[in-house]
Amino acid sequence: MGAAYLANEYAPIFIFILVAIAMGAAPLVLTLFLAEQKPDAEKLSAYECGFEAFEDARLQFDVRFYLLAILFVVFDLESAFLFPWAIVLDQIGLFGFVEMVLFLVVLLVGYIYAWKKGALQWE
Amino acid sequence: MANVTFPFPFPDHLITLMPEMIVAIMAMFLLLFDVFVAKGSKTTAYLAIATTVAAGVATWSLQGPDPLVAFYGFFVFDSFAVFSKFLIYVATALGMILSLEYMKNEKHIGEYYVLMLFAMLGMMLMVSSNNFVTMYLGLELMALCVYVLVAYQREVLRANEAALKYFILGALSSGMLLYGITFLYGVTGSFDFAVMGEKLAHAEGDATAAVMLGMVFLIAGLGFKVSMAPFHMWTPDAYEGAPTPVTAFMSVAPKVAGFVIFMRIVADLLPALQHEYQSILIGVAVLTIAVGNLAAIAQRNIKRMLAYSTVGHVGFIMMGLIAGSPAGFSGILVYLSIYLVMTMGVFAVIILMRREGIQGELLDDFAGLSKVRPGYALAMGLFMFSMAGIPFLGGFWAKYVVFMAAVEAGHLYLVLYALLFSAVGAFYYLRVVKYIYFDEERVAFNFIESRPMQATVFVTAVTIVFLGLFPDALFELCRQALVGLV
Repeated sequence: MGAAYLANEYAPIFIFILVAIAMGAAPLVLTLFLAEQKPDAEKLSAYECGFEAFEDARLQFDVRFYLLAILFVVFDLESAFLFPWAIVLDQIGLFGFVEMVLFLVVLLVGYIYAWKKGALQWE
Repeated sequence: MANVTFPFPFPDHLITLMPEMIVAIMAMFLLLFDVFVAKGSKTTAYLAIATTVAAGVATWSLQGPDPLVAFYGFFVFDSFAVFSKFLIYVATALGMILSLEYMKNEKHIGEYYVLMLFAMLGMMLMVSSNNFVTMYLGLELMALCVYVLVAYQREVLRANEAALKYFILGALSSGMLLYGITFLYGVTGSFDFAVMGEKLAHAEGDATAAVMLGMVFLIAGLGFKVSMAPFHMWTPDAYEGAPTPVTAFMSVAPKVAGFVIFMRIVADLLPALQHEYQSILIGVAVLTIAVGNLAAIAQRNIKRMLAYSTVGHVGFIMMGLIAGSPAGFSGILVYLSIYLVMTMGVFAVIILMRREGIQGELLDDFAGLSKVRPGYALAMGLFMFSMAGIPFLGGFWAKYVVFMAAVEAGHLYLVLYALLFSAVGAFYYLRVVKYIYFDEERVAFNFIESRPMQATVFVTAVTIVFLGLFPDALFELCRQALVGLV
């Protein structure tokens, strides 16, 4: 009975997945049979707006970007917490104030640590 | 600020969290202390070890006859939590002691101990949680720290691979865990274990399917953390790639925390669903015991071998969960305590065998140990006999209590099956003894000379023998710890 319930609820989703796969696969499969195919070296080469392909699509970029991005996310979230807190500050009183200060102190420890370790310097 | 009112008697709640606060404040202090003052010297390590002791003292002084509950039941401090916290303190402190020499040449060594403290904090929250929110917070705090610890030797390719594998699979399992929790929340409308247990007992009709789904995902997610069989794939790689002290730490402490959560869930959340979850757990246990003990035979690297041996032990511990009785639960605590002592001892010997440049972690490296260092050889032999469950060493009683509990609960065939595989397991444990005592030395030994580590080997070996001869005190302690839970 429980299983039947699940089957009823999720059957449309399952059908939807099947249809989506079919829609995606159909053009790929149909061209295999319907289109005329005469590949040569020129046709198979990578097309880059008419230029010769001159670079690998995969770029390496500096690991320091990740570091900055992580620090950004941390402090971005902090401000996301601060806004709702600031709006209801008059209702939650001293207790809410102290609690947010504690939260900020914990973040501050991390910030001082990152600063001292040189994570904020680009060399 | 006219209305300075606390929503609840606040100071009482904070006192209940004293051990956690000590660890949190000290961890943050040490983070700054290391970059400003210690700069990678061993002071940070000693202060971190002192913090575990301080947390132990705080926990000891707080414990009383009645369980303390704080923050609307989000946090409990009962004798069960106290016992498991002490196991976690001991595991963390020993992990730190084993790291002192081994990790001393690593870069950024101060943060290493801070991460261990934060991992310990996460586990302390886990074992004290009475609510899925607290549990998940603790679990993630622990897991994130352990991922980093595994990758600590970041120039070593093997460590990177191990940590990445562990991280990706760990994130997946956390997702599964959360997915399972959402189903249970959807049915019960609460995150509190006790409230959920009450509601689940009366779930009927369409809700039962959702409960089943939720339970399966919950068991899978937690099963990953304690490396149960279909979810154990990360274990050998993570164990092998991690620095050996981290391997020692992560093969004990997170398992303790994971099983404690399992026990709380089985006791509070699922008593009404005993038949459903038992059949799942029996299937998983059968697989776990077989995979752990059979795969260990093929390993030449002792860290990988011990990883599979852990999987095997987890399978045996699960028999206590399957029994689901007070005897089973206290059996799990007995097993975890003895497993902690054996594992820490084994890893202490392995770490002592580190040579110039290479680590003594292949089975061949143990060849002829008895002629060079009869003391280490004897200790290693004791640990191996104990892990195999040879009578009158600690490991025998660990198996005895969970097997007896399972028999009493009517799972005789499962116990016979486990006994069979425990005999298979004896083969690869005793093979190590054969290498130590009957083979010739192949590579010259070069030991780390470190008093604290030698003391660890000595104390753990003596404890295993002592527990083998006088196990009753531990049995009684574990029974006491369960008062209030079941």
